[in-house]
Amino acid sequence: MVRRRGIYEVEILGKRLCCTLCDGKMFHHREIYLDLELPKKIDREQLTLQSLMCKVCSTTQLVQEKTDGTKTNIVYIEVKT
Amino acid sequence: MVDELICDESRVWILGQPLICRFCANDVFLPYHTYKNVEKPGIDVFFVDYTAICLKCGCATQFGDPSGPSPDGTDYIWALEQVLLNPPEPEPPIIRTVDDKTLRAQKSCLSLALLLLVQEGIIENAVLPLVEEEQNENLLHLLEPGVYVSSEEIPAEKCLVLALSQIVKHRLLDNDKLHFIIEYESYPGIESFLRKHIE
Ligand SMILES: [Zn+2]
Ligand SMILES: [Zn+2]
Repeated sequence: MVRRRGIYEVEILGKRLCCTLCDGKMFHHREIYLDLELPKKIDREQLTLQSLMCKVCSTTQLVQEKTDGTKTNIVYIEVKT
Repeated sequence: MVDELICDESRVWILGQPLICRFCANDVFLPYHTYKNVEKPGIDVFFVDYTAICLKCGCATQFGDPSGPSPDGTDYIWALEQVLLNPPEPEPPIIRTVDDKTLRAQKSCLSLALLLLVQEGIIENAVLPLVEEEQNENLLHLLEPGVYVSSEEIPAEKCLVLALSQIVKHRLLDNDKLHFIIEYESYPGIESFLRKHIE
């Protein structure tokens, strides 16, 4: 897992990710974990996803990172602000 | 329609509409059950929904299950439908092998049960030799004319079940006792119980 604390443009399989609400192209990134079992369970299984929140309107899209050899489906391009 | 989605590669429909990845337009997903902690009406209240991962690009689509009664309340509408990409192989047929000792016990119980039925005039004398000759199919037809017989071999146990159900049907013995023995003692118990009633 890589911590990203800036603002990013994101490409998935070579295609630019756009906000589904405002068509924005800049996102905050966090890695998140969804519970696949009751959250009370100590060693519960979790689904790891990359959360991409639109910088303008905060609409969030979730993407699972998939790695094929050295290639991953998600590419982050940091935007200097 | 399904009451729950299975977490396996599949196509999914919600109220008849196919689920399509909004990013890449692919329609094959891996749907996970995911839990959310909701704040009302109390803490530790969990809400389950689905997070379906697009198998091509990885984008997640989240949804619930809108199944529920129809607007006029006379019907129930199942909202989710799923078609697996790789349906499970059908289960192989179960081949039961019966050891010699069990088979002998089954045959001797079967002979006794038939003897009892002959004794009470319910079936013909002629069935008795069929047990030793293992003519189970003929036996089955005599015990229950018109019974459906599949192509597979008929085990002695099946004939025994039919013979015992004839005994139960005609109330030749104490049915409660017979059921009790079958449930708790199986062959040794039935054998001595039947033997007691042979004249
Ligand atoms: Zn936006
Ligand atoms: Zn997709």
